[in-house]
Amino acid sequence: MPMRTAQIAWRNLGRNKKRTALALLAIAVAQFALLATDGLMRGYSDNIRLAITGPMVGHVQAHHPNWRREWALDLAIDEVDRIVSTIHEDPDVGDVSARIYAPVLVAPEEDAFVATVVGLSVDSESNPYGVLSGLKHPLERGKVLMGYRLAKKIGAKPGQEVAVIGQAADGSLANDLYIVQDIIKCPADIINQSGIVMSLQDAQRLLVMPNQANEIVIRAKTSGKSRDITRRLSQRPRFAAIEVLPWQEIVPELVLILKMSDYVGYFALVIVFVAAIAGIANTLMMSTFERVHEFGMLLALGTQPRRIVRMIVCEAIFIGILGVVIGTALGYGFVAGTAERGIDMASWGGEGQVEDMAYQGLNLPLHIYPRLEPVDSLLGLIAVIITSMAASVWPAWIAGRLEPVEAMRA
Amino acid sequence: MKRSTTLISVTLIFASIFSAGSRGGDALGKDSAGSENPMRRFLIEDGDPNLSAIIKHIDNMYRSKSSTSRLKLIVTKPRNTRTLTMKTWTKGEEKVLVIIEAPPREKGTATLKIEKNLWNYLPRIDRTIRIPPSMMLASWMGSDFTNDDLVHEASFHKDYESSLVGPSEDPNGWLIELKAKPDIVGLWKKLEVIVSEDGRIPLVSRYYDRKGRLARTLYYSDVKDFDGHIIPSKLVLIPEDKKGHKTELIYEDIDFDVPVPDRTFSLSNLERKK
Repeated sequence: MPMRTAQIAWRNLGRNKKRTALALLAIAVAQFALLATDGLMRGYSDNIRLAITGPMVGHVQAHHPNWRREWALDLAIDEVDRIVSTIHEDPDVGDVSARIYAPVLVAPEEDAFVATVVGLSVDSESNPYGVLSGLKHPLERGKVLMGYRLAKKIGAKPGQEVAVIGQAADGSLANDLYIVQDIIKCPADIINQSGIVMSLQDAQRLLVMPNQANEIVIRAKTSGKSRDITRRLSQRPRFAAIEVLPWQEIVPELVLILKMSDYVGYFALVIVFVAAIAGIANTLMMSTFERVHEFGMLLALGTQPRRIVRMIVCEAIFIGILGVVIGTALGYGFVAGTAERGIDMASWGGEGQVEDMAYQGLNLPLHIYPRLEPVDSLLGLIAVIITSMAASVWPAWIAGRLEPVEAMRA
Repeated sequence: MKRSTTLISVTLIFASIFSAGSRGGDALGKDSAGSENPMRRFLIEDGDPNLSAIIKHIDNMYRSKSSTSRLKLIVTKPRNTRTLTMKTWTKGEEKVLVIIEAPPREKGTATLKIEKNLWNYLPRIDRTIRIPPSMMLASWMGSDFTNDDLVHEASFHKDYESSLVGPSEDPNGWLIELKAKPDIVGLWKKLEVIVSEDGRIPLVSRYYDRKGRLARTLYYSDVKDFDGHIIPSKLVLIPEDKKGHKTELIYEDIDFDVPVPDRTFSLSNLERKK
């Protein structure tokens, strides 16, 4: 029984191991580069998205209708406890945190410095993606956490007592003493720069805001539900005098950054893709042209040109699939190996002490955790197979049309 | 922060109002008490105002070597109004002490100014806090006063070039324009002051910022005789850019040139006063 073309093609791969290895390497490296870039871009985009919808903005926010315009302490939501319970009734809502923001002076000794009190619900902010999620010990009453940049500026250390002075919501003089429990670093730049973080109850007492808050931050159980939650809450009678907004409307400038970052990611991906395809095409074409002498022999022995074309295309597809499998394994290996600990991009920046960068009040960590979606490897597989075929058909077609004698002389 | 800056401003109002003790006893300072003709003749000569005399008179109007007073500060904001009662002690230009007497939540809170330094004493936490210089130079949030014009011991005749614009009809009096001298660092480019027809009492001051925009207006009213010093006892400051905001300063009682011991103005005295 004559051997099938596919079998011959498969055997041919083993005949010139160097040539096959080179082609496999080109394809595997291309697929690896594609997946690694994709993984990094997804990780970076996740960073921005999580920094926004995580500790800083959440998925949905509720405020007094004029709060976002004036940022005045007395523009508060009343009966916060009942409002928070109502929000928890929504099936898509995960965590709910009520917050208070107040400009204050903080004084470790005699000298005072400008700071911002951030009062928040300790329990829900201690959950994943909350402001306090990285804290080893839960924030205690009568104690505060201080943003690391503020602490550095004023020389405060954990365990130290600080005086906090400000104006209460009723206009009276707010002042109290607190122990610094810890120094924190978080994605919300306002906290790093000037934050004195305390429990909502402590802030309510200090600032004379009984059962009040300036902001309620809602985190959905799964992303993509922010507009649904907003719509449902807005329809509740209790929210008649409360402004409820999805994060996209609260920080449109960050949505723009996110889109820009995605576009930049796609652009980088396209460049890597084109380079990968060109590499594969070049390697396959060169290896086919190399074998013109061999094809001349086959033609002289009576092999039909069509069969030669089929054989070459089959070889290219086999090499393509093998290469993609190797590249995908390498790519996923890279992502799996780095996903846990992440990649510290800051260390690539030289000797400077850059640990993160802040933009529009959003602190973007430069520590990236690469991530891949199943569809990402599929894109590479399809692209490589199509490229392999396209890159081999043309030389194969030329080879099939050669005069056997001329081809053998080549 | 807003509250503490209110304290700064109050202190500095006193600083500017009651300072310049050395100038307190000049020719016009004491004479302004009387309404006799020589005074009037001095400010208004042949029916025309004597600009330089009027400016010096206003500069020295509230000043004395030392003083004690009781006053009320009413801060009106769109959604609330607060009234504070305070007692003050001053000595010369540089020393001022203010202690809040009411409301009860703030009772005993004190502010001490010595030269360019400001401290707040907070009885509830028994702490004395020094207000950072950056806060003194910046305009303070939520308040109708800026720290600058309060810290700055402004002198109309030293810091401004004055010119008489002419008679004013609303209110009746004389309109004087004061342009900041080129070498003076301050928030204001120009002031318009309307004084009474006899040149003795300021009625309105309009403050124009460095871009020439009207920033705020200070109204003087309720002229009273305190120990022979005839002065407006009520000052109302209305900022142009904050709708619904207003700050009223009402002197209930002032004793000029009373003995005030130096130890009044010490940090330890602050803490004892709680």
